[in-house]
Parts: sequence; structure tokens; C-alpha cells
Amino acid sequence: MLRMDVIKRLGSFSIEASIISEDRVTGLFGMSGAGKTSLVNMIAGLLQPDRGIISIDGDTLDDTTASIHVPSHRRRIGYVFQDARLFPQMSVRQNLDYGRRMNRLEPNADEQTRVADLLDIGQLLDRRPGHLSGGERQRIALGRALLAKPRMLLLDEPLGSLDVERKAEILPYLIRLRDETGVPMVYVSHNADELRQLAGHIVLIKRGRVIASGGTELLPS
Amino acid sequence: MTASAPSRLLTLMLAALVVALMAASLMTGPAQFPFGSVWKALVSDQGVETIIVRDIRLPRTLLAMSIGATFGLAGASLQGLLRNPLAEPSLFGAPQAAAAAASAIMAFGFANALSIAVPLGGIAGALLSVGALVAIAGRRASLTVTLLAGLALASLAGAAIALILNLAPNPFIALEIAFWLLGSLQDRSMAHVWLAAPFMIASWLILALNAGAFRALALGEDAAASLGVNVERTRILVVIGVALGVGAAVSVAGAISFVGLVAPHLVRRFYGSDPARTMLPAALAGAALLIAADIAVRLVPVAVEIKIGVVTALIGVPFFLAMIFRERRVLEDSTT
Repeated sequence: MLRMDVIKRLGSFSIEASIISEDRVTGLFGMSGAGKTSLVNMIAGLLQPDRGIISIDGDTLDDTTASIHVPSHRRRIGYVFQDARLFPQMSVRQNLDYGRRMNRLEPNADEQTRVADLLDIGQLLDRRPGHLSGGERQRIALGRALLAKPRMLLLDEPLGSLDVERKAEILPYLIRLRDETGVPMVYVSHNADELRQLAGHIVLIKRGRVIASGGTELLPS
Repeated sequence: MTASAPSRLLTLMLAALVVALMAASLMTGPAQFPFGSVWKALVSDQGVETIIVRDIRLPRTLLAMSIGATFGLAGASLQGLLRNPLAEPSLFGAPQAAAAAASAIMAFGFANALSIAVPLGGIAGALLSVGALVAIAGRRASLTVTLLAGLALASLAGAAIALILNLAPNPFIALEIAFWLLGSLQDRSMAHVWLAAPFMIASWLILALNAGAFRALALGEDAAASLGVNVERTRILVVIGVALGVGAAVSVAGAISFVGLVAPHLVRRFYGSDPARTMLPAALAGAALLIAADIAVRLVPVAVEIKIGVVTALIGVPFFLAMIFRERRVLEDSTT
């Protein structure tokens, strides 16, 4: 369960948001500039709230009254950005393994095969990211985040830089991820269709405030 | 991760070049020695030749090698941390700040030039300068903010030096400091090497240990942090590592500039986009550059030896201008 109740000033812009979600996929929906990325950055620990609490499954990550701020590299939260951010000089296999190594986890061949099968990237393992399509790169970024055994995955417009056909190609993988891994996700998008297919709990964000939360019926058609 | 074969060969060639230049440096001076007699003078007592090689040329060669490597590594590390190819210790006056602190200690007679207080002062000066830059540049600093902050810090260090010259107890001390500030490896002894080497080696170790973090930082600070990199700790360690190296180097050799800009840039294109893989080659290239510059100042036939800091600045500044010219599109974008 994700719980956050935070206040944060960012220059002339301010965020005051309270979110409670028990769904596997929480969708943050809003226009660009509404403060969605700042909210996920707070969950990731990249931004520290001025006041408030953030917890996942009862583990407190931020609590300003108790001066708790777990640094981002210790949160075990996977983050997938709009661009895949892979290492061009490494093979796909090395890229996938990177998150695991940085988090000092034991190598686990079964886990690697399972994630590679889940995302259909087994045939790409020996190639370099530079020669792959945007959709393939994004699947590898998802795989890298999963193999670091995160307690939560943050996806910030992961399909934002892809064209319509590529989006249609990746969405099934995200649905599989949701149904087969059990890792809770926070999915940021300004595309109502994506969220309708993926998210169970929707939070509408406007100018740094939560204006509604509930089921997918909140999304504009 | 393994380096590709051609780049490994290039690293070996750079290392061989450093060794060859060190040999040439031991052979060069008012009395030219062939390689054979230099070797003999190094390993056994050959009278005057041994004194010249071991006591005069060996210290300056070792200092040129280690100081060049220090600046090359410091430049590559700052560029990795700030993800900015123009980040260089001398652009924001770290050597000048170190020189100001070290010369204050000497000018006002707190300690003599070979006291441990001089490198410690230099390290403190460099720590202030590098620490302030990294603090101001902060997390997502634009190129413009970094360079403007650097300009201000360099001016401040310059003002501090001017103040020390102004207050110097007598004109001889002022003149001596002014010359020392130009940067030179002339008349250095093994005592200088022992004074600076431990700090420089510590700096190499600290910076090398962060190579993996620079690799991750190439993806952006947010991505690096989400992959498990402690960005805050990396930032602090780089500040300490650069300050240790630059402070110690400056306190024995005066202000030597721009090696940290030129060396990493010369090798970067051959090692791809991975900042971690550029570090060793940048250190080797820095060492080669400074030994070559130190040989060059001995070959120019003038009555007063040209200072090595003058040579590196004369090479480095046009190089810097050329880099700005080539990157001007990026620089223009970053102001909007």
C-alpha cells in the first residue's frame, strides 16, 4: 500500500497532495506541469517533502515530524523514465545485470530468464542498445529495474517518446508485468487510454493538488 | 566490463609514452646525457652525473608525472560528476585558491616551504574552492551556472592572492611568491616529492573508487540514484579527492592550470561515452603533457627558465577557446 501526504514548495509552484492507494497500479493523471513528476520524485527520494509522510507497505520512507528521510539509493524503488537511459557501451545483458550488481544482490539465473521471457528480450541479450528500437530499449529498462528487486516501480511517461504503433506494442508487456510480477507500480501519464488499460486506482492531479481519486471512470473519454 | 582491444592498446601506448618521456626528462638539461649513462647514474654512484640525475632531474620528473596525472584525473572526475566537459579545477580557480592559502603560510612566516603546513593549507584552499563550486552547481546545474560560479570563485582566489602580495612583509618575499605562483618544477628536491606524493596518491585512490558512480551518473542523477548509487557521497568524495590532489600539487609546484581540461579531452574520443574508462587514460595523458612541458621549458634557450605554469596556460587557454567555439551551440542552448 502506498501512502503519501506531502507539502512541497518549488519556487512559485507548490504541491499539496494526499494519496492512498492499495491498487497494484496507481495512475497519476494530469496535464504536463501539474506536478506528477515531482510527486514520483518524492516517492523515489530524489525530492524531499517540506512536510509530510511517505510510506510503502507500512515502511516509512519520509516522515518530516520524525526527521526520517531514507536516501534514494536505499529505497529499492525502480524508476523507468521516458527515455530508457541504457549504457550504450554495454551489452543488453550487462545493462540488465547493472541494477542487480549496484544493489549487491546475488546473481540469479532463474530470475534473469524469467524477466527476459516476460519482456521478450532473450534474443537481444548480446546486442548493444544503440541498434535497438525505442520499444525494445524501454523493455530493457523495465527489465533492469525489475532485476534490482524493487519494492515498487515508478514509471514516468514510459511510452511518452514512442509513436502510436510502438505504444501498442509495449502496453501488453506492461499489463503482463502488472499481472505476473506483483510489484506495485505508480504510472504517470497524460494519456487517458494508457491508464484505462493499466491502472486500477486513478489520481487526478492539477496544479500541484489532487482534485479527485478513484476508479478509471474518472478519466476523460 | 571489459575494455575493447583497441582502446586497451591505446592505454598501453600512453603508458609507454609516459615512461619514454620520463627517460627523456632525465636526459635533458644544460648537460645532455645519453640514455645509457642516465641509467648508470640512477642505479650506481657515478659522481657528478649521479648528483644531477638523482637530485636535480629525478625529483622534477617524478613531480611532473604525478602532478600531471593528478590534474588529468581530477579533471576527468569533475567532468564525470558534473557531466560537463568544461569542468576543470583551474577554471574555477582551485589551483589559485590552493596557491593563495599556501603562499599566505609562506609569506607571513608561519612555516617554511618544506613544512607539512604548506600542503595542508593548499588542500584547505582547494577544498573551499571545489566545495563551493559543487555546492553552488548543485544537482541539475546548467553549464552557465557552473561556469559563472567558477568565474566568481576564480576571481575571489585572485583577489586573495593580490591581498597577500599587497601585505607581503618585504618585496623579496612578494617577488618570490609571484614567481612561485607561475608554477615551476625547477630546483625541487625529493623532499618535495615526499611531501606531496602521499596526498596525491590518496587523491588517485579516492577518485578511482568513484569511477563506477561516474558511469552511472552519465545516465543522469535521478537514474543513478534509482539504480542504487549514493550520489551525495560521490559528490563529497570527489570534492575531497580533487582538493587533496590539487592542493598538494600546487603547494610544491605553484599554480599549474588547464592540464585537467586538455588531458581528458584529448583521450575521450577514443574511449567512447563511458566516463569511468576515460580516467586512467586521462591521468596518463596529463602525466605525459606535463613531463613534455617540463622538458620544453628546459630546451628553450633563455637566461631565466620559462615557468611551466606559463606553458600549460599558453597551451590550455587557446584549447579552451577552441572547445567553447565547438560547443557554442550547446552553450547557447543552456542560457535559454
